[in-house]
Amino acid sequence: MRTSFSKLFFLCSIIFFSSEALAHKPSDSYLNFQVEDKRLSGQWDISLRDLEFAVGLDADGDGQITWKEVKNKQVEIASYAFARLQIFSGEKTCSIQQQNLLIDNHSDGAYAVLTFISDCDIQQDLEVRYSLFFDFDTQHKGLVRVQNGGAITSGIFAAQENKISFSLVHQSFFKQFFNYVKEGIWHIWSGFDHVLFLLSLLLPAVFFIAGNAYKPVASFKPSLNHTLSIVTCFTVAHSITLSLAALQIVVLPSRLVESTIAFSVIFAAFNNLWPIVKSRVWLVAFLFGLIHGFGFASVLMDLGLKENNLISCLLGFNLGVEIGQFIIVLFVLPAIFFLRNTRFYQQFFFKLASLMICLVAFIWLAERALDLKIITLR
Amino acid sequence: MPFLYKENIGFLKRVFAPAIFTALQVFFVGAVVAAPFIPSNDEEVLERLPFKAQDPINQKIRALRLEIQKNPNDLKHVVLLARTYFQLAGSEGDPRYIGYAQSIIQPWRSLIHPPVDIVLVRGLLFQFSHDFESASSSFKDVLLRDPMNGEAISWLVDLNIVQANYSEAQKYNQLFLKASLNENKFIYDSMIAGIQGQSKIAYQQLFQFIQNAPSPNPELKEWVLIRLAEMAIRLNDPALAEKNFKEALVMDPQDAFGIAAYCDFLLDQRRMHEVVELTKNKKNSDILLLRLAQAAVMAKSDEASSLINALEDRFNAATLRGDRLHLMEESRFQLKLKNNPTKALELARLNWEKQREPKDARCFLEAALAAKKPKEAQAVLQWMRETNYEDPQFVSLHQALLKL
Repeated sequence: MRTSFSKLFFLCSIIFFSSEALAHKPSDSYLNFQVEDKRLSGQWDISLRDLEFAVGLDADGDGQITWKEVKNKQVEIASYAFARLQIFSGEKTCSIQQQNLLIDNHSDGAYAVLTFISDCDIQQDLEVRYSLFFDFDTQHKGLVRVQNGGAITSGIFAAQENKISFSLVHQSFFKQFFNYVKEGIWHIWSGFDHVLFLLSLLLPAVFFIAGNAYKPVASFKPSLNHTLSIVTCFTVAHSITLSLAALQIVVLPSRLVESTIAFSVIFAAFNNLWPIVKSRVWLVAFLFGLIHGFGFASVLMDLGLKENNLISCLLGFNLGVEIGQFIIVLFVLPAIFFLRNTRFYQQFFFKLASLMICLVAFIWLAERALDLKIITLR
Repeated sequence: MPFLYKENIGFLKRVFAPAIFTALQVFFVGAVVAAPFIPSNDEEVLERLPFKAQDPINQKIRALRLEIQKNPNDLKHVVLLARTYFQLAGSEGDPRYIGYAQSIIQPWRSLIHPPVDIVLVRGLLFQFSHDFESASSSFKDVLLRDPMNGEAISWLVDLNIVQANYSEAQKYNQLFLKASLNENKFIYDSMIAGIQGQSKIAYQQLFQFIQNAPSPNPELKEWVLIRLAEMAIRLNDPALAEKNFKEALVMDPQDAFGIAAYCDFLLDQRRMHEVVELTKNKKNSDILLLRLAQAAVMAKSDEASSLINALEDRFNAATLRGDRLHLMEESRFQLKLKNNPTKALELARLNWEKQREPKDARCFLEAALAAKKPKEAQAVLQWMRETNYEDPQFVSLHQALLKL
């Protein structure tokens, strides 16, 4: 049985293991629709490898597909592909007119790119039926994306799933942008840790330090300058890290981020009671601002980021955070400036508020660092 | 930011300007998508096919397709074509052939009692797509109807080893005796013993076997040599491992799995330049591209970042279609090349649910160590205890985890 044995053994295990050495992924096509002003256009990327199987591209049989060979089969490619794609808007069947044939390189090889337009007046919904290659490759998938203004919906066609309906409730770029602005404002207001950090830095803005004691400032200008330097540094810092984290260039563990944010609040509040950093408070705002940016990013990620609207989401959310911040400053700064000379503010409110903030943040730190649940404020 | 505090402007300029520039760059570069183009030259080669039109394999496939077209009920030709595609999927590393094979047997699969040969092929295809449960049940079906079917027995032993069900593997391994395939049983016995803390004896047995085999199939010999090299690593004998790897790759220089195993061995010894030499022309294979990128990072090569991007594109493309076949590789990618231990650990954990070979275990341990979450690796530590797995690298990983 030796010959049959070695053949048999080879068959199993060698191939078993080589299944992990995949050079390619299975066959996919990428179908992108764009709806603008109710007009439908699209782009369809189909692998040359698959078209070779379906239509036959390699005319001279040398195992290489040249641009000339693809161009010569342009009509066959288009008629083969578009015969396997149907688009409906409401009850109406939409016609498809091919425009251009281009080439694109994907991670697994070269693709023919067919661009097309449709005569349909797209109403509320779009139904797509897809049957490309399913007759000879059951693993083939069609990855479809519909870009409607700023919104993107995606779907996957498979042999058992060859019909997908897309609802096109219009959502414009600006609407989406403003949604994220709103989320940003809401987040800075509802995220107590950011507010308390900012507040801790703002409270002494109406003082200057003489020796080891706080003295109220005489005019509004130094307070404003102090506040501006802090807010600017905090903004620049968290904008940088918010972008880096949202684009997944830098990823930090959330427990570390949340714990450090809690620590930053303690530090800022504690600094009001026993000043350690006296002159360069903006540096504190900048350094801790970097870590707050990661905190903002985790919220933004929870809201969902999509590649096409990444920039509108990111800018909108960031702008929202700044607006929220600005409104806080707008209310707090004049109020404490007005109160700066009173004993109530100097001896009582300033110290008690800092102490309370310190305490709350300390509980957060314990919760976040040790994974406990002490208070349920947030 | 319209206002800047006067005193700080100099500092802000120095520190922030580059930072903002980088952030903006990242912002826009990240958003740029490669655009389709019209090739400038008619003769430009856009894609290379695995075979020429007149290559024997293409002729064979065309002939089989023609036969089946003429007579769709011809089971023999259907099975032959499906198996031809299956083998191509393995040798070319291209899962498209799995889809072709599935389509060929599709009409037969839907029968209430598909023929045994079809059930067997169905099992092979399930296995290739890492649907181990369906594959197992297909092979069991085959054995119910044909208890001496050596191929189905082999697959069941293999599947159970990969999932670390060693007693189940042994159970199926016994069936080889009934089927008079004693050598098969012998090889699998050695392989299982090698994993279960008896590498020394297993090595000797397997080495004897390959020495005494009259004229073993070269692919089989290459495969056994790689297993011997792995056992030598466990026995802490790198020189012996190296000898076996080298001998194996002389037998079959194209075996991506063998090259990958050898590269891992070299990477452990920081011999990254040799890894670059072995893999630089094999970027098609995902697993070899991974090793090449690791070596490039180790060697601080300029090419490292473009290799990492290429790998990331491939993982993203697979994720987009909903495939999660290479969890172990993806975990390693996240750990070694993206410095993201949390994600690496998550992927390693998912991978361990499906595949439990030593290399999966190591990947899991390394991710847990980097993420500083020793508790997460309990399952692997338990596997190590149960198997008495003896690799010195595992022992040091275990100790490092205990120190956390």
